[in-house]
Amino acid sequence: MPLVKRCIEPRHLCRGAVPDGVTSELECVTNSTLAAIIKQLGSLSRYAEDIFGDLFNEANSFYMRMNSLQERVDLLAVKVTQLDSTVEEVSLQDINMRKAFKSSTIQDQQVVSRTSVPNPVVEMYHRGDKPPPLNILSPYRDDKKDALKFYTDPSYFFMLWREKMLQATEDKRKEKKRQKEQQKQVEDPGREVKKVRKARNRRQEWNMMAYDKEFRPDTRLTPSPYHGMSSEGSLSPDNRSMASDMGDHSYPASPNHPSQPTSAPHPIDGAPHLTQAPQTQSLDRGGYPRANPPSGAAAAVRQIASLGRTQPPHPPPAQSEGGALNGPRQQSVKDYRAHGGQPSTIPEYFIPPAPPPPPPIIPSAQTAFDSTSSSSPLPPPSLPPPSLPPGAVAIMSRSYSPSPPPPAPPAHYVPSPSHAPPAAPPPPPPGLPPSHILSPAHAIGGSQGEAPPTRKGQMPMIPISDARSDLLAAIRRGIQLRKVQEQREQEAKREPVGNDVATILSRRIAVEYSESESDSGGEDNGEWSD
Amino acid sequence: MAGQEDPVQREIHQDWANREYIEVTTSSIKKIADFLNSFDMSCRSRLATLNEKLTALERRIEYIEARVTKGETLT
Repeated sequence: MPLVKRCIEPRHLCRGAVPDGVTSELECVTNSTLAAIIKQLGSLSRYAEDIFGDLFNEANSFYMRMNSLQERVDLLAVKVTQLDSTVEEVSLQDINMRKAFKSSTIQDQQVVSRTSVPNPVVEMYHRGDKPPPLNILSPYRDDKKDALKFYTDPSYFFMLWREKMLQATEDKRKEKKRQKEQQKQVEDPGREVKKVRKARNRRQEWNMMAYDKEFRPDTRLTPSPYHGMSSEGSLSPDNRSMASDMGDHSYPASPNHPSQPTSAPHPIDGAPHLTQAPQTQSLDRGGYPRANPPSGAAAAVRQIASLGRTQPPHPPPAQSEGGALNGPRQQSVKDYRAHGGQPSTIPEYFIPPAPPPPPPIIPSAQTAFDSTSSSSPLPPPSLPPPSLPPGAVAIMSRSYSPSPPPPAPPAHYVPSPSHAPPAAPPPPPPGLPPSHILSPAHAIGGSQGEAPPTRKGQMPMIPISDARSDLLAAIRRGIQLRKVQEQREQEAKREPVGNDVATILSRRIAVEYSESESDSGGEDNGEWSD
Repeated sequence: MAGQEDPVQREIHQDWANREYIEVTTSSIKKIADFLNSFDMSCRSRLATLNEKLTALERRIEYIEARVTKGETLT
């Protein structure tokens, strides 16, 4: 049934009730009918004005377009008379180099939309009942959505279609990327070599981290100032005596330096290493808290052992201890010292359990050391995104750090090292990452409110152990940062799309065409390679 | 009877006359409405043809302008 666009209002002329107490009813009816006729004429004139107004507006727009066209034609006429075929350059190169002519294809969009509704229909729409005023409830919603949209949403289907289209375009883009990567893998088998090398480096890192800080053979101690602070400040007389018992000077130095991805053989200073060794030993006596650090230290030790084997007899004990810890965590103390295992065996079973341990460790460590772990406000930006094993090491190291001095001091000189790294020579960075690891790890895990007071109170305490927690915290923040970045990227991608059906469709078609082109191009490349 | 019929008859006659008048009026109103509708429709169709011609003209002029002007090269 067609919709009546304009309805002249008093539809029935003589159906009104005759008022009581009227003698001449016929005349009464006649008069009321005539009055209704006048009302009808009134509405008719209103509609007529509306009709003529629409037509006038349309004709006006055509008039403006016609005028502009006229001007352009005049300009063209003038230009054409000025053309001179003798002067004009015609070179074969220019013919191809000229920008191709492309007529402006303007697509009509939103033709049948709320804005283009004619006035009488709008009036008819407003005469209808309005939906319930659910929008007054929207400020009380948590997810900040329009409350009325749950009742009636005119844009629902468009949004649905738009999401579907965007999803389709992204899927196609990903497929393209996968195909390209597959093609590249097929074409370049040499690239696999790089991956293998990276894996080896990680093993070395884990080996280094397997060592406790004292036992790492690497020399990261000397250049970093924080190192000196940590090693000296955290020492107690008992530790120092223990350090002297350690014997070899170079050996204890390494564990205190957490895993260094680019560890190079460094000169090992005896004093700082000795100071660090007793520190870890004292931690070993802690029992459970100690369990975690040794395993972390073992990983570092392993790495250091694999990288720079300056003292083979000493690293093996530390490495073996770290390796044993990977399985049973709480055997730490005895296994850590008694074992004389081989560093080669450690990485093999250290790596697989590394990923599962970190998540369980984190809550335990947090509960145990929430007060000590302070939220370091500085995620180490210079720290390269560490793999999970370093993170595991960080967690484990972090667990034992509170038992000795809390990580308050690390938080303080985490800022200083963070500024130092870009200017520092290679040795300092290995020392710095540990501090970064520890403090962020503590920051993420522990309650931030308690952190600042504890930090300040324990300034001269163990900074080295915090390095691992810093690493863990950095990892977590990296993940969080990535999520935020992904969200922002997604939002940024969605922003330029706009709400145009035409733009969305054109993007999808463009993606499909480029995909088809790439497929055909890929096939051609395959043929050429033969 | 005649006396009673006269005023009633006169009234009825008057009423019929009024109704005829009203009928003429309403039918002319309907004619006006029909005219307005048909005028609207025809006007819109003519304006649509005009629009098509304008669009075609615009495209042709765009093409001629591109031919006549010394276009920019790609490099």
